[in-house]
Amino acid sequence: MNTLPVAIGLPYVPDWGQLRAFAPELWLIAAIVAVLLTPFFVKKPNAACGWVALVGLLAALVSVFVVGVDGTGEHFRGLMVADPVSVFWKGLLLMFVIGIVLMWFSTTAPTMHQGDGPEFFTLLLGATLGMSLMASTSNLLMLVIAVELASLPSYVLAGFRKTHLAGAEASLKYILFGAATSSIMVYGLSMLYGLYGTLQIDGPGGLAQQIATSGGSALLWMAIFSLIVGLGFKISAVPFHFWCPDVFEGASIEVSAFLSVASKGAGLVLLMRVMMSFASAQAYESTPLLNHLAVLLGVLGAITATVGNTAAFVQRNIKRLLAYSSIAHAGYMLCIVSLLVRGPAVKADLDLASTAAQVVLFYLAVYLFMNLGAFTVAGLIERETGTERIADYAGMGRRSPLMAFCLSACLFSLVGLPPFAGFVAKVNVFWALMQNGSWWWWLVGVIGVNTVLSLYYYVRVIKVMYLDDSSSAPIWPHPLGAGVAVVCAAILVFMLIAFGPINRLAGHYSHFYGVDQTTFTAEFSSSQPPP
Amino acid sequence: MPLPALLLLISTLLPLAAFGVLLFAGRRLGNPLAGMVGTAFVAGSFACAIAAMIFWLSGGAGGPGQMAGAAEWGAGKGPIVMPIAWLPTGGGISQDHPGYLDVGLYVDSLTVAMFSMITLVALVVHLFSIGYMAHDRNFPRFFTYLSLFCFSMLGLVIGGTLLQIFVFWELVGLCSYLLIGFWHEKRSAANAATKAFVTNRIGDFGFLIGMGILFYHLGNVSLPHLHAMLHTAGLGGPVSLADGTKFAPGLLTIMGVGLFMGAMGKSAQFPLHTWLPDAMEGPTPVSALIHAATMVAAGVYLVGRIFPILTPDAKLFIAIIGCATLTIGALVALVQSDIKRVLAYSTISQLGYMMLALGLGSWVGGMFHLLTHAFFKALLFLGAGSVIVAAGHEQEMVRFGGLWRKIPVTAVTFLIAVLAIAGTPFFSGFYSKEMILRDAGAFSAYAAQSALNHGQSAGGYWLFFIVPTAVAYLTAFYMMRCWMLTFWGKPRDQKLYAHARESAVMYVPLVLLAVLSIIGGKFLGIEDLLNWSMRESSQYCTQLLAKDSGAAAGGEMKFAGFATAWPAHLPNEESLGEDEPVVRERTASQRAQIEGHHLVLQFAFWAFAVGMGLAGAVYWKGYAVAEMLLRIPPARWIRNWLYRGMYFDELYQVVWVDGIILGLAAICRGFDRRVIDGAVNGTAAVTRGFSGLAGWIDRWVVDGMVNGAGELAHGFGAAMRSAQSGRIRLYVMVLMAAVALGLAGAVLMALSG
Repeated sequence: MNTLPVAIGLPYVPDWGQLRAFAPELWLIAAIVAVLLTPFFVKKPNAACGWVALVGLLAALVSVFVVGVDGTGEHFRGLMVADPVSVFWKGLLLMFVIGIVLMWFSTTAPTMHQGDGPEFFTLLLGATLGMSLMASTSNLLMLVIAVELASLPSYVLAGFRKTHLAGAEASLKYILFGAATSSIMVYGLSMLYGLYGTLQIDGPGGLAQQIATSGGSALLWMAIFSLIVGLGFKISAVPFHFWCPDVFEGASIEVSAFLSVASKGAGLVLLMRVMMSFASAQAYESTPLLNHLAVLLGVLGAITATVGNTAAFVQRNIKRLLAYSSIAHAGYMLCIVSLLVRGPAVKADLDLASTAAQVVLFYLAVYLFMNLGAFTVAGLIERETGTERIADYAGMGRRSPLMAFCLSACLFSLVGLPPFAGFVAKVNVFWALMQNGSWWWWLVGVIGVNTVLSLYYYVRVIKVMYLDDSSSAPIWPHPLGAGVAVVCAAILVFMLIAFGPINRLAGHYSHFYGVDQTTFTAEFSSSQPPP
Repeated sequence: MPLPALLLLISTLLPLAAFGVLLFAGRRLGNPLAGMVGTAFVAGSFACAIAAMIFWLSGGAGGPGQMAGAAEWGAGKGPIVMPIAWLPTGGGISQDHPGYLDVGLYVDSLTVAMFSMITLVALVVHLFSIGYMAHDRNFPRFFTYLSLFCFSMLGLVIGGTLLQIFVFWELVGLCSYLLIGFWHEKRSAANAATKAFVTNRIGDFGFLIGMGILFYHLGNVSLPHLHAMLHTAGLGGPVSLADGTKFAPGLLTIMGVGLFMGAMGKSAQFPLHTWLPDAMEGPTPVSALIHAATMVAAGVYLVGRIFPILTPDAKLFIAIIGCATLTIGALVALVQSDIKRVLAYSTISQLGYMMLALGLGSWVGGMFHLLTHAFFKALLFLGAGSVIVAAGHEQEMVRFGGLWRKIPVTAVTFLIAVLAIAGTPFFSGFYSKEMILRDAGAFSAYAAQSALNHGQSAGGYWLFFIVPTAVAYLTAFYMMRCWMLTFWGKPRDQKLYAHARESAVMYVPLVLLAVLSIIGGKFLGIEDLLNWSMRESSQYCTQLLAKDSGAAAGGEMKFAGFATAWPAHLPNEESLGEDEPVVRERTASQRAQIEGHHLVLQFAFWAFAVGMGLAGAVYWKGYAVAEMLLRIPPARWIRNWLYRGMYFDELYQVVWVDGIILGLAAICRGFDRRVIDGAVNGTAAVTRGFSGLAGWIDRWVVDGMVNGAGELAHGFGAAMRSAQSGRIRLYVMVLMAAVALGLAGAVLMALSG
């Protein structure tokens, strides 16, 4: 048993090898410190902080590539792991946040009150740190800390426009809602600890293994459900999604973009990790626990996708529309997570679970660029014209052909139409679901219908841009933001061509540490006991 | 990436770059700068292709397909095959990336030869077009399309899978459509473009079906793998695949015929040939590049690429279609009066020759003729273009005559092309046509003998020799007729004659192509390249098979490759699966057999002299003799029948357009109105209802509760009210309700399960 009391009283000094695997996080912490120190050296700190944050993020991204996957097992006495999935997610996250910072320069920077920059970037980097820790956690205590580290700065970021009434309102809603869900989650986790006497998720004597051997009970069920509530809040799964549209509308646009991908992605990766641990520990016996869990997640995903898409129908504000669209996409990904649980449950097939993880990772990679591009264009247009209403996008095809093209590419990709990467991501989803037949055909049907529904509201934006005319003047977007949008659109096109390698990359990184070591003899994980 | 492949890739991408530049900056560059930019890029492309050819021939740049023992037979390189896993498809046997659909490059000697030919003709046509299109309003647009076409055509040739070939196939089709309809203000041009497009789509259905059959059964459409997989067990019986399933030869025949249907559309084979003469509505340089030298040859190229996986039945079908096409084309060309239509029907006829050659198993003959034909037919079209410019955009030969005095360079180069296409010895066309006729003769002799041995009638097989030989006479006749009517005799339109003048810009392309039309046959080594290409493919397949079956390296497997396919049409032919040397010996013996029939070959040989001599005699003084001949009773009827293209257009109008479309339209209209509109409207109504419901809930239930809650929260003060605390409470209420429900469910499930 890997219980806490052993550690208490003994000074624990992690050695270099332990720290090295978390170089990205260390770089982020260094960047936070640097950002906080910047105002002492610079008169107008906003832009300077932006650049410092950018450098820190780049360093972290480089360190992800340099350090890569660490196979030495659990770090810091089993609190964290640096397995392939977490490394893949960190790479994505850091790339994305770099995009967010660039977006900030081209949208919000000029209007931000001089002197607010350090706070803003401290919070942004702090949330990023939390989100990367979420992917690495393998301990319930760490899980709570990571989720809160990701959430608390997010609450403040949502209301960062202090003079903006809607922002303050959104922030308040976000906090209240977050507090409610995370209290439920912590309550559930405390039940787990009470039941099994350990906080460790994987490994010998860990929660997963104990659950596998002792079977289910009502308390266990309540605990797991509470965990899903807490993570469902991050993912904005229905019915834990209420905060999402309001916050996206109220927050400034780069924060909305940040929350739409980073927060959801981190939640999904964490959910996948926990579910994978439970699933793999019971992989060889079909347990009702896993079956029900899979159905629960699948139904949750289907409902989330449906509600997101139907609610998006009536939206007139581009940010609200993208908020509901992000809810719908979270639904699609949740459906795949259900596969990740169900595969081992029914077929004792861990490869299938790995495939599901691969599909989610690839989807996240594509989703990142689609959303970044769409939000960037929306932000640029908002900055030039001051409007978020879709109706005001009339004539954009003429007023700013480049922006209209980039937004169209992103929206088509969000629908999942062929020349764009979104198509491949969706094909992946369908393919993975269909491979398993039986119950999954329902999900295939639901996602199919949803895709058709989503076509309408995405294309409506494109229709407004190209077919509705207006006499408004042409607009010239900020070149930096335009660059981000163009790069996103280009990647969406390019990804279809280079789709195989990227997909295989995702497959290569779709392995979790801690799941059955005999099944997962990935080249990364050489299991060594924690010190 | 091996150097030749890299060079060819650059060569492919350069026209795409030109397309991008012209698309965005074409108008600004204007006339003639846009043309020069396009030409410069294609020149770069040509240079890369030539460089690739040099590296290829020098043999120092062998790719991954480098083969042991290859030095003994020539270029010293295997094909360069570079597959990339692209789309996950689940299944898939015997490929580099199981479970994926591959895309990639496939470079062998044929690819290199095709690249040199295409880029050269494209370069020449670009040069020519700067002069030809000089006064056109849409000059930049023309070069934009032309660049896109070059990219698509090169992409088609370098593509390593049928899927890629299909994609670029459609792209060249699109370019063809755009360029035929380049002068879309003219109604006839717009119609011709549509006709070409639609006719090609018919063939493409077949292409898709063939590809679908292959993909369904093999999970892969990559060229070298197809060859290897389908040859594992030979084509005689059911083909065993790696997973033990059988691929019935009947299905394989359907697959082959399906793919060939695509080629029928693109290469204007009977009965889909009617679009090509109408395509002459496009600018003449386009006709030279697309509708003579390259795109229409893409069908032949496709058949050449899939040649090893065709069953004997499919090949027989191809041979019959080719035979019919070459006859129809030549007969109709005999009486045309529009100079470009003569050339168009001549192209149809020559493409028929190529298909016939492939159908009879003369792979080298077919591809050889493709390459030589490209040069002299491009020359003929550019010559015609020069004539047309000189004559003030007149195309009717009735008004020409005697032009050689006014435009001597055109006359001489045109004559060279006529000599080449007629098969005059030492001109390029002679070698390729001789090879086709000789192989046709060998096939006929062998097949007839074999049929007699099996107690069957042998007569039919001889038609495969007699018909093309007879048409060779016609070819010489109608081409010489064309030359005589245009350049010889007395001017029939003095005004036109007086104004006729050559443009110096067009000299260089004409002379260059004339030189190639002369030396292309013997001195460029095309034949060697093609022979190597065959060997390369065979060897590579052997390697693949060895890899798949895990056979010991070194021991060459029993693999038939191209050569065995040659006599494989015959009933009960037992030659498949034999060792290659044996097959080669037999091939040689068959050649010897037909070469014994000297008399027979003499017939083919003298076609050029007889045909051209007759034409010269008849048209020495313009139309006089011909008019006399037409007085013989049925002659005028036949002439009119032929002049209208054997009434194929009228036939299709009656059968397809009127008969089917009108009838079908009525049915479809009914179906559309009743079923589809109903479904669409129904869906729309459901969607509207759903979103309406969501909106209603939002407005009445949520807002109502919010308002109600707002009333309750009245005492909380102004600050809180501005934050709409009622709504947040509602949110959390819903959340808690969900949690309670979930927890209750959890308890229930735990208790019951």
